[in-house]
Amino acid sequence: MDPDMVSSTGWPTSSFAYQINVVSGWDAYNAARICRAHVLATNELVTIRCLNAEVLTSSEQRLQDEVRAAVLSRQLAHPNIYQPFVHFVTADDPAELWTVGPYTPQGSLRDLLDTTFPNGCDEVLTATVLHEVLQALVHLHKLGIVHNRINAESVVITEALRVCITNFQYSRDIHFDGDGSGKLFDCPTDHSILPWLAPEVISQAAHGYMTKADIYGLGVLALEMLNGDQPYAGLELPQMLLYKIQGIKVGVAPTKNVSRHMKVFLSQCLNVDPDLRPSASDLLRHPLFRQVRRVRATVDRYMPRTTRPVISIPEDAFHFGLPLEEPDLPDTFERHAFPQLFQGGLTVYQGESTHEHTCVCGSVGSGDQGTSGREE
Amino acid sequence: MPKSPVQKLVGLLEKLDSGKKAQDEFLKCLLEIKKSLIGGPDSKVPEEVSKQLAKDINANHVLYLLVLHMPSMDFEAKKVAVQIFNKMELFYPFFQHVQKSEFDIASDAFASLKALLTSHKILCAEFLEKNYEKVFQHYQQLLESENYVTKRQSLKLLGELLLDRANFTVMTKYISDPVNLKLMMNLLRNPSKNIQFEAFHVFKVFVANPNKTQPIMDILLKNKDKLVKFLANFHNDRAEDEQFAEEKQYLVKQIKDLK
Repeated sequence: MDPDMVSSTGWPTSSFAYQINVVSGWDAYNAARICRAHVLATNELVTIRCLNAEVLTSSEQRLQDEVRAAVLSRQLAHPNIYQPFVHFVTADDPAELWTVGPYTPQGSLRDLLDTTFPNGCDEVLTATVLHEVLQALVHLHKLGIVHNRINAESVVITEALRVCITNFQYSRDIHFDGDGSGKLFDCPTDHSILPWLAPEVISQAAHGYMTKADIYGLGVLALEMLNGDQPYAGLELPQMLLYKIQGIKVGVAPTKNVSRHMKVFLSQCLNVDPDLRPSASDLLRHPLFRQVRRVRATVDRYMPRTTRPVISIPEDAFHFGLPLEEPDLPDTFERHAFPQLFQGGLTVYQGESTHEHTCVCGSVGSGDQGTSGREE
Repeated sequence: MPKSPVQKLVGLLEKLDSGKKAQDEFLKCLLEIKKSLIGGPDSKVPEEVSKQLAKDINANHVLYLLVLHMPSMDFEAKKVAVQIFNKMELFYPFFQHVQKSEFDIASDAFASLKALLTSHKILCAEFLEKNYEKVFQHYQQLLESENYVTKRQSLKLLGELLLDRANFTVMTKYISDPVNLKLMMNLLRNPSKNIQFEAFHVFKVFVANPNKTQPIMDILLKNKDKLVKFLANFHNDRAEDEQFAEEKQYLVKQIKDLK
């Protein structure tokens, strides 16, 4: 396959155009690697999900789920919804479906819990993240889309400290997948997400389910964040299902101090009757979220400090417009004789030449500083 | 030079919002085009005329403009516009879209292509028969694609199409062409087990055909021993799939009995 192929949006659609640096996690029954990588041509850092294509095409349902996720992510434009740049199938053997998206240094929220908050995070961070997820849910539910997989694995924090939801494989559209009355009936068959599924989804009741199913998932996500552990951990599967359908709630770990508002929020979200659960837009006004201020600063305060990987350009790479070294000026060259030559930016390398080789993207702003630096 | 009806239509589309008179004039023009494209209840259009008109419509991007201005049309005009849209043959561009490198676009296009080829069986069979050469010339590109997903999905769809009773004539045509047999035999040896398996389901039709053409017979005879040996070791781990095992046994017997 042609290594120079690009998508309509200009992103390379060949695996040769990317360099994978670290495999940071696994997804979907361990069939997909989550990798941190960079684009060779621009050094831009990206996160890539690589799903084995044999697994992808193992069943019609599986393929449909992935196509749905890919198509939806292209159509949904919201600051709290993770938007991959491009999806493509590699020409490698075995072939893989690559989903290239914005860089997420911490991986998913699940990874963050595992590495940084094994005993759960505190209420301020939980409320901040939930509030962001809720805004995405309001948008989705307005469009008639049920996400069906609201859990810590589906929440990512981008490098720009934006909390986004992803993993649209199990989402359903009320208008297309429903029976016409606004109800949905088919239940995702992935066992790993059972703890987050609402009772009415699991029981496959005759009256179906609606957008309120995601609110239940949000409640379980809140528990997951506060406890740090998978919800219902330690329970056998049948027992967990029974608990859910009977409406027996599992709560926050007894050692954990949470506010009254959080307790009310949890019991409202985890209500066994979907009609008694508040809607996503109702919840936005919940008193729990009064403590949410300055989202990015809050998120930033809790993020572990990691250094951005420095990627060096390989020696044999081509360079466009960026000279590797500052060319030696001949001794006889009178610098001060032509000041306008240096101020006017007539020479190609001036200004740009002070750049580090590692920083190619975002080089526009610093050009002026480079010039003034040379003046001294 | 007088304006063609299509050019006139494009001009009228711009003025749609300017009132009742423009709407009426637009509808009149639209009906005129419809009459020469589709014909009426008692008038048939010669094929050259409608073909020329269709070309004209494509060249002026009329379908795109019709969709764009759909909201400003009145009910009657919308109805006619949809009829014109449906009449225009937009089948072949799908093959290009399926081969796009972006997974989401390609898969979406493939789903549409599949729906077009399978949802109305009788109509499709008729269409495939009539346009056999052109359709399969395009389809060949998908089967030879370097994209694993495209290759596998198109091979699977091919198997489904050929084994459908409605497409019997098309199937007979397909399995009498040695080029197709060669392609399937090569796909049987593809590195991917899943592609091998899908290819098997097309290959079996060639062998099971009681009225093999001479070129097909020649290829099978030439490779008789190799094929028997190959099939004996083919996907033996699929023991639990009884139907597959039976079919394989049948094929081996058929090939052994070839004379």
